[in-house]
Amino acid sequence: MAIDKLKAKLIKQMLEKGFYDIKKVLEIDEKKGKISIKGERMLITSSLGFANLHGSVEKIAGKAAPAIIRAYGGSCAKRDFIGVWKAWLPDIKVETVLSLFSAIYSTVGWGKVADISLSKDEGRVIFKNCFEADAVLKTYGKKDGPQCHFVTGYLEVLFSEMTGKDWQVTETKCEAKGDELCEFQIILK
Amino acid sequence: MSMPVKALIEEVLSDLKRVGGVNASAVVTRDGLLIASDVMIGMDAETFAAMTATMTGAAETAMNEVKAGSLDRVIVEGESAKIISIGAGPKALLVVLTAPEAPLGLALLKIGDATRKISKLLE
Repeated sequence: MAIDKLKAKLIKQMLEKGFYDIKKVLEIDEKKGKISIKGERMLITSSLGFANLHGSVEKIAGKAAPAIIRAYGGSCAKRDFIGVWKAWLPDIKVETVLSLFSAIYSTVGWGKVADISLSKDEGRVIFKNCFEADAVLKTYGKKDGPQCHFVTGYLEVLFSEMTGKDWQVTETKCEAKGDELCEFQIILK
Repeated sequence: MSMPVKALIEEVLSDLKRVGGVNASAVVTRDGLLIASDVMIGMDAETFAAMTATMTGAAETAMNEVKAGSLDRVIVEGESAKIISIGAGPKALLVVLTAPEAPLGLALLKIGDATRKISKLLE
């Protein structure tokens, strides 16, 4: 019950800041051809670009492509943790991120977060319609193994940044290989 | 992976360190995740794993591009070290860091033995 109250309060605060209403926070400068949020330039592009990223990196790095894409995801998480999470909620706590994760990442188009949990030494995130799996599936068809390398790297660094501990994230189910959802298991390294 | 396998691989890496000139080693998945390592303090084994897998993956695609057949190994020679990356079964690589003056012939022989052991352990 206390968690529900905390969650409701946090969501209210975020709503007041206009976080979920993209129209409230998006600044459009037609003269300069720029769109931005809180001074940071944004770019709207097709999510299928992630499939191109997979394809291009794979062409150069072969089987090691996931390592590069995970590193990219991790660097984006670090940036988002400081530039978005900490910028909007300076006294951020793990519970805050867990409470708001689903609403925020669904809002920005990552997919529907069906479940998120984190205990002292393990956790789990489940995405339905994950953008990365969707892009790979649409572009290349069904794959043999999990494909959400960007999301894997992103979650690993996001959870590490917010807890100050080292986590390992492994995608155990992926829509791109025919599973119903994308499941990420989180364990303490 | 179960702990015993990791411990057994670490044993193989520990034996490898007894070869003259071998300073560090790691077993990594071909997609850049660290399985086990025996590295010096201050070295980020996970970053090293991702980098060496990338280096080997890129070398493999370069070999394919020039239709030069399959890749046997990657050897990088630097001012104060050599990095040797070699397949340890279909899913893993053994990466070894040696001193620059380390005799390559003996090192490769011992590395070959180690890869066979690791490959078997990972089956």
